Amino acid sequence: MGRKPTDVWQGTLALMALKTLDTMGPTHGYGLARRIEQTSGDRLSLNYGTLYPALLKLEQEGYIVGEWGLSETNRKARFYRLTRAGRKRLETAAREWDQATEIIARFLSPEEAS
Amino acid sequence: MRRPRAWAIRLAGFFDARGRARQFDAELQSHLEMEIEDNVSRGMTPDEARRRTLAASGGIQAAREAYRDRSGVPLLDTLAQDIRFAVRMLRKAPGFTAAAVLILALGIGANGAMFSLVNALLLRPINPGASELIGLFSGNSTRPDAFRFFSYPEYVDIRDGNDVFEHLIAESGD
Repeated sequence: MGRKPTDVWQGTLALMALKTLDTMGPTHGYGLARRIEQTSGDRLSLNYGTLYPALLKLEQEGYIVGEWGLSETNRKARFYRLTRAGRKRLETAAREWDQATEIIARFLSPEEAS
Repeated sequence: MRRPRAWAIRLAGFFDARGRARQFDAELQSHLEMEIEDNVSRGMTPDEARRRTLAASGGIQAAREAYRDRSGVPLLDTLAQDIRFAVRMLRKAPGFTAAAVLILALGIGANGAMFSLVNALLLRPINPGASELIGLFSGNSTRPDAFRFFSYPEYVDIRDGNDVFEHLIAESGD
């Protein structure tokens, strides 16, 4: 079915960004946005007005660090990488997310309801 | 958990708003250029790619604002703005400013003077050591409920022989 990409929900973007940085290594904002869209099977669309404030927040909290560098196409770009605190945060956030989805799933699955 | 650190950085961001904005503009520009490049490599003409990218990006200004709100402290930003505005208006009307300052100065000065007077006369105890004040009288053995005053020579005697009190004064009756 042809569905339109939805915007990313604010709370989940941080987790997606952390995970993507974890798997891809240092990445600039543009690459990160494209990668997140791609990973979602193009069901999410991420514009920079949403992405960069979220990255800034993660940076302020010390989970990621941004440094200027050169992209594959020799363009100046700001590369973000995960810090040690960021890796730890990713672990707990992923665990919390698992737990939350599991709880919701219990409510939604008919077998458990009885 | 990570709040204090983030707020410290945001406070620093408030003082370097221009630097943060410049950095974000550079980052945004590199983002847009990469997007245009990607679109060109997908077969668009450079013009079309540029137009497409800018149209799809939905508000550079909005992105800037969202970023600024997060990089500084919006409350402080508006406060600083208001102060700057106030200073500008005051500078534009020096006569009004002078009158306002004069009235405020007089008002505050008069208030302060009044208060220090009231404070000295009414609010503070006359002598903080009042509990150490002692009155001396001579008794009358035939009428225990009455007392008698001293003559001046008696006072001089007591004063010269005084080794108990710090000071001794006499008050004349009429």
